[in-house]
Amino acid sequence: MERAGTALAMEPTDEQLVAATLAGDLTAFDALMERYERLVFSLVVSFATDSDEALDLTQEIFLKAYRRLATFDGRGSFKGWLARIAIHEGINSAKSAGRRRARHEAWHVVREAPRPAAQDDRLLARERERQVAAALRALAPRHRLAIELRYLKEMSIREVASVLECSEGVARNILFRGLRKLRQQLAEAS
Amino acid sequence: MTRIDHDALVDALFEGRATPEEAARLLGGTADDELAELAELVETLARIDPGVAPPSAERFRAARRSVIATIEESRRPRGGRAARWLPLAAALAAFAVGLAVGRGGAAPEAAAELTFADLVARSAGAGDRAAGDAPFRYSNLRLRDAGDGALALTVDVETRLDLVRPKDDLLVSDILASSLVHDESLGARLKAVRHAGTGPRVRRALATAAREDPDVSVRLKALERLIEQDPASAATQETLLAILETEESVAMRLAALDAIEDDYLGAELLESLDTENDEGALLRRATQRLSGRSL
Repeated sequence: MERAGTALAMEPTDEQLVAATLAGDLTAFDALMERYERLVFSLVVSFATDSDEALDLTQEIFLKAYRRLATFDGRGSFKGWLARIAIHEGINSAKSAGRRRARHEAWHVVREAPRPAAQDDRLLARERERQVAAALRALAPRHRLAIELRYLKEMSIREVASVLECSEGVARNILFRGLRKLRQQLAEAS
Repeated sequence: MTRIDHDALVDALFEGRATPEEAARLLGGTADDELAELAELVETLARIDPGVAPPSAERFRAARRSVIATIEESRRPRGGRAARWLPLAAALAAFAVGLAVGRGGAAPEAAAELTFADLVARSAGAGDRAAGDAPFRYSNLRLRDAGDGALALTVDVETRLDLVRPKDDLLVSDILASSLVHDESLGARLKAVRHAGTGPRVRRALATAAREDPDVSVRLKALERLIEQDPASAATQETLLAILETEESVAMRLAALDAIEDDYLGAELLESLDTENDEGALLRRATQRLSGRSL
C-alpha cells in the first residue's frame, strides 16, 4: 500500500487534495485554491461590480467550500462542486446587495486566432459576435448560465450538469433550448 | 436517419465531437437550417471573451493567504480567539459609538442597525469574563483603514437565542424562511417547511427550497406547500416550469406537471418530456396533458 506521502509526490488529484485537507493539511487546500482560483473568479466576476469585489467574493467562496468540504462525496467532479458553490454565492451576493447587477456591458470580443478573411468579413464577424454577446445577456438565467459554462468556460457537460444540479441529459436539453432561444432572440432583433 | 441517430449526432455536434462528415450529414438535411444556425452560434460563442482581466498572481496569492489565515484563526481554541478579538471588539464599539454621535438624528432604519451594533459593543466592553463566555461569536472579518484613526469593519456576529413565539409571529416566519434556504441540517429544513407560515417571504423561500435544496424530500415538501399556498401566481408557475426543465426526480416532475397551467406549458416542453425520460408515469401524464391541449 502506498504511503500518503508517496501518493502525493506526483501531481495530486483533486480527491487527494480534498482528503489531505480534511485530514488537516492546509497546504493541500492552498493547492486546490491555486488550481481553481481563476475559474471561480471568472464565474463570479459577472455578479460583482468590479474586479476587487469579485476577488473578495472568490475568497468567501473558498472559505465556504472549506467549511463544506466534508459534504463533497466524490460522485461528481470537485470542479463542478466548487463551481456550483461559486454560482450560488454569486447569485446570493448580487441579491443581498439589493440591486440587479448589469452584466458586463463592455464584453470584449476577442478572436482566438487571426482569420484569413477580407477586412469587411472581419468587421461583420466582429459585429456578429457583439450581437450574440448582447443576446446572451438577455437570456433567462439558467439558459445563460448553461451556455456560459459550456461554451465560454469550456466546462464539460458533466460539469455543467453538476453546477446546474441536474442529469447530463437534462443539461444537454437546457443547453439546446438555450441555444434555440438565443437564435430566436437574434432573429427577432434583426 | 433514426431519431436516436439524429439525437446522438446533435449531441456530438454541440459537444465538439462530430467529425466533419457527421456534421455535414446532419446539417445538410432538409429540416436542419436551424441546426446550421445553431452550429454557427456555437462557433461564435467560442470566440466571445468576457474581457475582464483577472487579478495578478500576487493578488491571488495574497487572497489565498488571507483565506488560510481565516481558517487557521477559526481553528484556534475559543479562549484564544476571544482574547485576540477583544481589541477588535473595542474598535467596533468605538466605531459604533462614533457613528451614533456623528449621525445624531438617524432615520428609523439606521437607528435599528445602531441598536444591534450598540448591543454588540456593550457586550465587548463589559469587564473581564472567562474565555468562552463571550455572548457573541465573530467571524468572516474584513477590515480596512477608513482614515482619521478609524477602521471600517465587516464582520459576521452570531449568538444563540431561545425563543417561544406564536406560530404566525413575523420573527418566526423570518427565521423559518431563512433556515429553509441556509440551514445545513436536513431535519431543521424539513421542520421549517412543515411549520412555515404564509406570506411573500415564506413563499420565496419555499420556491427556492423546491428548486435548490439538495434533498429531494425537502424539495417535494416545499413544492407541495407552495402549490397549496399560491398555485396560480406567475412566480409559482415559473418555479414549476424551472422544475420541469431541470429537476431529476420523477416525483417532483409529476407534481410540477400536475400543477402547471397550460399557458406555461409549451408544446415544446411537453414533447421534450416525452423523449427525455423512460419513466412510465411521467410519459403517461405528459401524454394526457398533450392530448388535452388544443394545439
